[in-house]
Amino acid sequence: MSDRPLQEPTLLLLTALADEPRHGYGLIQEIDAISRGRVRMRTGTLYGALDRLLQQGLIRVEREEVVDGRARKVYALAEPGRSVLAAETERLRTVVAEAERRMAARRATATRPKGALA
Amino acid sequence: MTEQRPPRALRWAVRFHPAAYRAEHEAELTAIYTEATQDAGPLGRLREALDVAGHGLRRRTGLGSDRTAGQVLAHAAPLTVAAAAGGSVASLLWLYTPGVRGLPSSSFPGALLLADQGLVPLFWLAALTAVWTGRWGVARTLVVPATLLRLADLPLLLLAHSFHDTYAGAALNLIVPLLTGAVVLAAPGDLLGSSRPQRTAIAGTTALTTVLWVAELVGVYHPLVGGPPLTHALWAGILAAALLFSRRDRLTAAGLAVALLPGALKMTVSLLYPVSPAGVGALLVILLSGAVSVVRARRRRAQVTPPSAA
Repeated sequence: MSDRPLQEPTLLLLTALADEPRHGYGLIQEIDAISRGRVRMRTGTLYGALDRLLQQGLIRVEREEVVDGRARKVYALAEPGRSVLAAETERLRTVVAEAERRMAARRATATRPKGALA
Repeated sequence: MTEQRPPRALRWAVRFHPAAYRAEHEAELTAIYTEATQDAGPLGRLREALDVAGHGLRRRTGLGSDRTAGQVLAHAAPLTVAAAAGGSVASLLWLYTPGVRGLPSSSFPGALLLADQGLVPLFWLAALTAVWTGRWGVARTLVVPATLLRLADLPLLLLAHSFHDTYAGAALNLIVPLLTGAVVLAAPGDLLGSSRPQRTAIAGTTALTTVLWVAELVGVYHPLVGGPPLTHALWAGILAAALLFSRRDRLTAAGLAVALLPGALKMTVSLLYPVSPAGVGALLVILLSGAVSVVRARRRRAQVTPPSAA
């Protein structure tokens, strides 16, 4: 698997499936909620991402169901997808920890009284 | 249980999908579309339908994000905006540099042309800002008027009696903006984002193309060593380098090659009409590097490699 960071739509999609399987529109709603309304994935874009993630084996079709006369698929995170998401989460955690450490160091320097010894 | 008829806009949009794909997925696409547009107005439904149509076209043309061509386009899209923005910086310099402007602003078409040439760079620079911040919806929306305005250049030049180029030049005036706009609009949306490595590539491409176009501009005042053939052939050289040095990060290199293709095409064709040794050399360099790149890609395809999750 590539060590390139995941693009945001992929990361959000895998995150939306991390806790439970969801159908297409459920994924659009979850992505909207996770991104706090910043990312609104459209039907065609979602379908393109689902095609790709299915082909890569990162997600799978959990089941197919019929609701209000319409067939829909329910998607779940596959094991390789869970590993990719875990690796990306770890990468982001490392970046966040480093950013916090540096900002804290900067704050400590800024609040130290002038003339005080280190 | 009743089978519900899909909305008209969606029925139109799914026609873009290959028949086999449509037969398998139309019911689910309809379900997602219907739920996603239940509170949307006509504009919202149209945008959703256009997105479905775009997905269908990508499936039909092999440009989906699950295909290598689609992944190359996704890498090319930000760099294409960067290349166009680099050209825009040079265009603005050209437009506002005293003594260089050769367009008549006295006639109505001439004034329209000047306004057009002032507006297009602004659209591209705004699109670059949107790409930099990851706002791809805004960026792609801005690319549409930028492309249409650039396409209006040729009729305006003809109306202003300022078109002094060959038929090949006229064709390039249409092909180059169409190619540029198509790369940005055809890239699969689920692979577009804004990451740090991507921003570095965008900055580099913007700087590179600005230098290349400014070299053209400087050449107008102070003929450089080698003259226009050298500055024109540089595009072919850089395109070839992007194709040949694609071993380490092949998608980014291929994306850069696609992004530079419109500029390289314009410059190489201008060296070939009339035929010049520099033009033939540039064409050979592009063809050879392209052939090497295709052979490499075929060899790689023969090996089994896991896909990128990006």
